[in-house]
Amino acid sequence: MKRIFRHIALLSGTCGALAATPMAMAERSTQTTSFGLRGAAGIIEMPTAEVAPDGTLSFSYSSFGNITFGTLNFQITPRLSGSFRYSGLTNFDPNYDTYTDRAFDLSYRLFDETDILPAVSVGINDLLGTGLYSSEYVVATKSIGENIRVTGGLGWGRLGSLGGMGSPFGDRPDFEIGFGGTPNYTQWFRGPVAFFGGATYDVNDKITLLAEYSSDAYSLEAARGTFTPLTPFNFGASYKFRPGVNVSAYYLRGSTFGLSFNLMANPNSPAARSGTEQAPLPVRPRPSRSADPESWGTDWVSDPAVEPGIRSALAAALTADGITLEAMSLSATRAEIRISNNRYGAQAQAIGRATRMMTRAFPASVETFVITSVANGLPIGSVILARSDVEALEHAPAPDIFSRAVFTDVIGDNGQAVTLTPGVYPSLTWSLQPYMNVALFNPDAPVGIDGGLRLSGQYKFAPGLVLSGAITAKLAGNLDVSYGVNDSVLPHVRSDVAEYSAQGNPAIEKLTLSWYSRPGRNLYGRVTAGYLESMFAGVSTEVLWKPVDSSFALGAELAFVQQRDFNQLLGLRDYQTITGHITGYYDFGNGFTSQVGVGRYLAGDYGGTVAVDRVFANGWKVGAFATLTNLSPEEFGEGTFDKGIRLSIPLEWALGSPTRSVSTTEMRSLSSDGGAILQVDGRLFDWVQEGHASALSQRWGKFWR
Amino acid sequence: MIGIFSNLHQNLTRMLLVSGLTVTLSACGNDPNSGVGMRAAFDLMKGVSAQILAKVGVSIGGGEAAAPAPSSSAGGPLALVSEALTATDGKVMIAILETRNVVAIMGVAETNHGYETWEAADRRSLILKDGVLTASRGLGDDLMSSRSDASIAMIRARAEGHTTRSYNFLTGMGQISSLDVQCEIIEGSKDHVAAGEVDVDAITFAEICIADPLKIQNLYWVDSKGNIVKSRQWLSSEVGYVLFQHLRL
Repeated sequence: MKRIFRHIALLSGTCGALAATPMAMAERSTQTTSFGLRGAAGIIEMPTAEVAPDGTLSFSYSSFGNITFGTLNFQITPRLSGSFRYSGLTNFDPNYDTYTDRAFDLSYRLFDETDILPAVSVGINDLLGTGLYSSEYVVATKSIGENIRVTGGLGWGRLGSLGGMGSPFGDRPDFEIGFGGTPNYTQWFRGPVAFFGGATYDVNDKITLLAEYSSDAYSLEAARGTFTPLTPFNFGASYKFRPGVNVSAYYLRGSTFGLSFNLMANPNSPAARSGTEQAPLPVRPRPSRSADPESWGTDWVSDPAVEPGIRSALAAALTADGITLEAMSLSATRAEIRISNNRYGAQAQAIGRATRMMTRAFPASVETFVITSVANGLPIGSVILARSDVEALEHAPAPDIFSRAVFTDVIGDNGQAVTLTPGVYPSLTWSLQPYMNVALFNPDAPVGIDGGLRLSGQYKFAPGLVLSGAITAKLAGNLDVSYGVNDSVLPHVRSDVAEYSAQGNPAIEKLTLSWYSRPGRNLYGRVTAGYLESMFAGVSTEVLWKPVDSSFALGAELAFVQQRDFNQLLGLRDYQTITGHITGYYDFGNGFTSQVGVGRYLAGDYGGTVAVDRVFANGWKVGAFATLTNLSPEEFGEGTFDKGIRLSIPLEWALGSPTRSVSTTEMRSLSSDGGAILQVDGRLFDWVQEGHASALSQRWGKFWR
Repeated sequence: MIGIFSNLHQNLTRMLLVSGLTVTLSACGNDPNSGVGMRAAFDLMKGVSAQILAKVGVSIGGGEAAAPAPSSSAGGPLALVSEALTATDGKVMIAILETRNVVAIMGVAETNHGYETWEAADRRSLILKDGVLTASRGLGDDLMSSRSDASIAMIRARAEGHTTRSYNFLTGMGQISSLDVQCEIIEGSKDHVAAGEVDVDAITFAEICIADPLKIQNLYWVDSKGNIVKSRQWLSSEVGYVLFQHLRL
């Protein structure tokens, strides 16, 4: 589909004012919109030098003979992509019905295609795993006309196992796998090298024909009778149901048939860019002062009925738009409203709507508008606008009003005291909803799911003081399936998940009293006490320093916790510990953010956690994290250290209508007791930064939506 | 201070009473982007308008054959237009989203710096400046704003010439991106427009805007005072074209 938006240049001149707007990274050429058998850019088995459009996230499932692959692939930057792949082999190891293997791959585009030269990429497969799929390659892909692409490459390791042409960089040394999880870099590009290659032909928009020569001998699989290739050749065809949904069928190695299914999503392409929610109320311009001097008077200040009248009218109008007016202050020339946003994924949109309503609510003499975002009862950042600018720029591009906005923290200002809106506190909210707990890519089961009903409630006593609880009743699931004896030598802080799942029905998921506070300018505090999460109870405290316009934040957290009974009712087990971290947060400003924390983990181990996320302005987050502690590999067990991938998808992206719901998934290559972190709700940074300049500027285009 | 929001609200409520304000049109499945020529585009405009106004029981264009009598539907469509006109003493128009087969009767909710925010009862809005479409809200893939003053001045002056326009859209990331187009305004032919309380002689103008490979063809019926009384205007690549028939200026 030809979209004109390919041809639209970013409004760079005026957007330059947006301090933290991520720089658009240039897309690379020679892109693919369908993947190979292994769920990454490739023909069938063999990789290509193609890349997916920047930010593409893909799930693939493939099966042939006794082998299945499940792959999550992410185009991390326009040049760099990574895959996490789960392989299941039956008839491979007599100790297992299905032998499972997890692999992490990286591929990097070195050179883009030119008129004469091909695109060239380099890749390393299975760089942290047990080595079954360890291989490295350099590959070139060239387009011939519109419909044909030809690929040729050199492979090492597994990709050099068939038709080897000698070892240009020396023999491939043995690699001591140990407990896995460490890079096998001594092996990279060593040992026999072999040629592979192939071609693809787009018959039309839907169908692509595939053919290749493979350099993978499947030595181990053939020896064990899992899969025996008869020729080096693969043939196949791929069918695109619609953009992002592909099915491919293959005839593999003269031996067997295979199928793969591939789903692609791109954060850049939401269901509806502007959303389908109702129009905002328009700005009501004031009459000119000369034409109607009376309406500009300030006598109304002395009328005690005015402020309550405005407050209730404004509160009602905001409520209709999914916004709560928590508090307000008003003088002859300045009005501040404190609003919590219950509906819009973009805080800038809630602020924009509230601003327009202010033009309809306040007397003409009120020239300064302060819109303060509130979350968990706390003011988390204010936008100051001149009413004249709001009137003048309603129909101008959003960057125009952005350049007039001032971002500040009202705490510590000598502003007027705000008056709480009557009826907002105390409040009780509750819901009964189905729930699903999903654990993906566990060592023994690719997909673990518990599902049932969750009754949850929140009672807000006053701004910042909240009692919240949730009870779950499991109806079905497989998270309680235990795979052998738990032989962890550490305190079983996370590894008893099967016991918790089996015995906790019904379960008190959490029952906590939380107090959120603003100890001072740029400071945020939290104290949470009670049953903090399904496995631990206790007291958790946190303080965060985060200036409104800063890309750096610093937080400290300390908790005293005791392990909960497996039945997740009110009882406790014997294990107690103190856990806490000091964490630095940094926003690189180019779409990447990082967190670095050091401290003591749940099992009493000391160490640090590093996390990097690619954060898309519309709320998508794709990130990876790793924790190294003072545990030896023997103590930690398989995997050597804790690491994983996390993924947040805002439902607004998929629905096209506004909602603040986000689907968050964390995938760990292995769950174990080392490097484990308390799962407490309401950690400060996640929600505090939403009211700050960086987050607002990234989606400021929604201000007038 | 009660009633801060009530003017608009009352207007909208009244509009809502006119009700059934969105009518589904099954007979209107054309593709406005399929490279129709200038004449064909004018014909299309006349044809489509005739079809739609036939549905709501109003005839257009002096030279056109009289519209068929309103269909059997209990007096509805014609009544809708007259009810809309009696429900408010302000401006009223019919807007038709071609690709979505939606007809809406709209009124002006607010005017700010010359931009009129027209709303339908379901709180979807279109923003026009002097009859030229500059933005939309609530349609999905909205046009957030545009800079069109040069075209507006030329069309209102019933003049021919070259202009530039700039359309601002939201990207998937919630940021603004702009589409700049080069336009040429060409005079068409004389026509008579009669709908609702509008009954004027007009001259047709075409505004052809290009940002390769996109080609936009806006059509305007302009009366002797420079009012755009009827038009077909591009909104976005997803929503396509919107037809406007003003019923009261």
